[in-house]
Amino acid sequence: MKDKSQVKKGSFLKPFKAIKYLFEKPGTLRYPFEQKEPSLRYRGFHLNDWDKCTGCGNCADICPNKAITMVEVPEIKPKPGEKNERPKIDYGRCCFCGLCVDICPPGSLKLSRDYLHIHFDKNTFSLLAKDEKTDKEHFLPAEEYSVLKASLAHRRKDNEGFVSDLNYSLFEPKRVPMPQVPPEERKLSFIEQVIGYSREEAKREASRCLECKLCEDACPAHLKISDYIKAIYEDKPDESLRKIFEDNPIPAICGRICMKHCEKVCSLGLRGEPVAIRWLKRYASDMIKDYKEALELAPAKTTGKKVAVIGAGPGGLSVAYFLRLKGHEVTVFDSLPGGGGMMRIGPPPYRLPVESIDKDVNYIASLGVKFKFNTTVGKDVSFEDIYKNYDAIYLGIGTTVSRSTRVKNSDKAYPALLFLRENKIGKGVKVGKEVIVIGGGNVAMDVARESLRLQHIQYPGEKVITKTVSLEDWDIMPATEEEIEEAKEEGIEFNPGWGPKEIKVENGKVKGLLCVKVKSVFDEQGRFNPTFYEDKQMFLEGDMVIEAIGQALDFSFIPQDMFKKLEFTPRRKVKVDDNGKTSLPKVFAGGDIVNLNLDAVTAIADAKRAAEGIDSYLKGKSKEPS
Amino acid sequence: MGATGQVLRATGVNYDIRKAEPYAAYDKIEFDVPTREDGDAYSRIWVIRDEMIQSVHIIMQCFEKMPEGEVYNKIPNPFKWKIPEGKTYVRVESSRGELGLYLVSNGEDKPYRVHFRTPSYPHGLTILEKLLKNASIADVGNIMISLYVTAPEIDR
Ligand code: SF4
Ligand code: SF4
Repeated sequence: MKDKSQVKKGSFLKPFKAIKYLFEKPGTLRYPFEQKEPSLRYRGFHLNDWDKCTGCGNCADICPNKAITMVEVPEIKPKPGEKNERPKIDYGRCCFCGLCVDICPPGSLKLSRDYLHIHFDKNTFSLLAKDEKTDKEHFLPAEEYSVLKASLAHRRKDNEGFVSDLNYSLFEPKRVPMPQVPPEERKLSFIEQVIGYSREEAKREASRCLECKLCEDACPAHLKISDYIKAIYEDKPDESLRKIFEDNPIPAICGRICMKHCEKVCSLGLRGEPVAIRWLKRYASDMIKDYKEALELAPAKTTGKKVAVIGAGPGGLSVAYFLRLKGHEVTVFDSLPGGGGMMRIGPPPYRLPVESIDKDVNYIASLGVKFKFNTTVGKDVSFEDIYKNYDAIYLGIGTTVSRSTRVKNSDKAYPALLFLRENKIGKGVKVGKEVIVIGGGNVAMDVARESLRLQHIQYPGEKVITKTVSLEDWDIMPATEEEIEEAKEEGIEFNPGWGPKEIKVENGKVKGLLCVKVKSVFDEQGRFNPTFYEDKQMFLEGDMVIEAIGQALDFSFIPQDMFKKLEFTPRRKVKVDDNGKTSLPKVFAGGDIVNLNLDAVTAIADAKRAAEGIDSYLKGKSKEPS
Repeated sequence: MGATGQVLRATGVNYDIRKAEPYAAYDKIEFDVPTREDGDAYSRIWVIRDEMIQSVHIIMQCFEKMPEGEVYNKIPNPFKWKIPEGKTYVRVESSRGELGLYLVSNGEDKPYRVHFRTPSYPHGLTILEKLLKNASIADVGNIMISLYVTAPEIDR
């Protein structure tokens, strides 16, 4: 009996013992009203900062489950070097490994700490990741957020989890440093500053490329950059050179002085240093001693058509090369004693040695292109003669006359192009001990650095100085940062933000330059229209002034009656159609006279277009009975 | 029957991949391979018990012999790091026995096929089937536990 009552008593009271748990912290989560707080680097659903994403597609390539597809987003207007594609992630496949985050070059892709996905529509499991910056409606502040709302349409704000860290990224943000001659040594002579990659270094640098091809879109001539870099990585420089020659026949030149439109957009450059595309091109061309063997290119069956190319600059050379491969007979006229055009007189030898130019030019000549050097069109041979004797003409002329500042006594100043030209192919220039270079562009840097070297050669051991004066302040100086940096290293003095007012002359000798402080360089419309503080003046002493403020075109070789028919764009450039054809019959043009971009690779791009145009023009003509 | 690891060593076979084909730094480290003769659950448990001592021993040696330097090294660019064409089988001694990886590549950056050979598969299916024959119900639990079978590892 006793036993029985005890049992009864226990079973009667026991349920009430449970009441105490009401006041205790529960061991379970009251889902869905409570949620577990994931760890700080939790890998949940993706976030993608659309402003930063470049659409490179690396995330889609790396995904081991093929969960990411790139979809075009029409509302995005891509900037140059970007695509309007964004990654779409299929959560049926995603394993949340985070490789896509680690490979994303701009670091736009992240994984959030959201792990709940509730939705009636199964299609939403494949989602186009956005972030709270580009898609404000769908991101709720943390306090408004509840699991009941948790779906793709409602995500928590500021809930980043796994984000990219450059130390652990799957790409290498640092470039293999390029060996260079130190500034103290290089300023004393004209030896080439950049030594060039060794085989090991080139391979290591080439291995950084992600093959996303953003750079190829940005290159005016659309070189197959990722292919030729890959060939270098695989240790096949000849294969690499073949890829380059498909679009660019002057790699030794371009590999040294190209303006690197590609490196500006290279994915890796967004957070690290871009792939050294230019140096790799240079490496490919340097590795191959004889282009002919490596390339095995031969002109097509001759067509019997004759094309004249005026100007043996990058554009002229390229047009000659492309047309020669198509089987036309090409003759190139140039007033200089060798090929290269502006490349021959412009870049000083420490940047571009003459041997490199000749290497490219000789190869093009070996294909059967005829070169007529030392031949100035309009003087040694008339434009009318060429016009009569050839089936098509390509104008690949460069800017050959220097602009002047037109300040008082500016006739005492040395024009930059004359200076460069005299040094390269003339008798050389006797420089002063204190040289003032007016200008802030790349030509000004070339002139200043060349002048410094000449000073060291002509006055060994003496105190010499080269100064530059530019209207533009540091932030808007048109020269590339690299050039400015190197010039500074060599000891060139900069005076940015000053405008020239007057060249002081005493007894016919230059004494210095009077400068005024610049108020602004551009007007409200962004046009070049400098204004000055007339009361703030500065006097720079110097015994030589060189003007490097820009160059202009010289059309005087074209006869007046033809020149009148040549149409120009509002910005004083020759107007051409999609085939590079001008308004004059059978005359095509490209390069500096067509483009606002005055650089070699743009000229090559024009040349490629014009070569196609000339080719189809000549083929079309041969069909007509003439 | 595919028995490896403790299951094999508990039957008196002195076989350990770390000794047979030393990988990683195992050739620089001293350790014994414990064995038992009887091949029953009791010996398997003892082998595991002895291995624990060896493991501690190995870890202590590693601490002593570990070289100085960077802990994390950047891996090469995954897009350039192509797997050479062909197939391969590599194996390590895992805590349960031989863990092998069979990989077929067609020369791209991602493998064409991957298969893991896991010890739980032979232990959990073929061997267990043999051992359970005529065993008393009370022993089933011990036999299964001592084989160290993990269900998710059975098929990969
Ligand atoms: S890797 Fe990054 S930048 Fe490239 S597409 Fe993917 S999210 Fe955009
Ligand atoms: S060089 Fe840069 S932009 Fe070009 S494919 Fe390689 S990683 Fe992409």
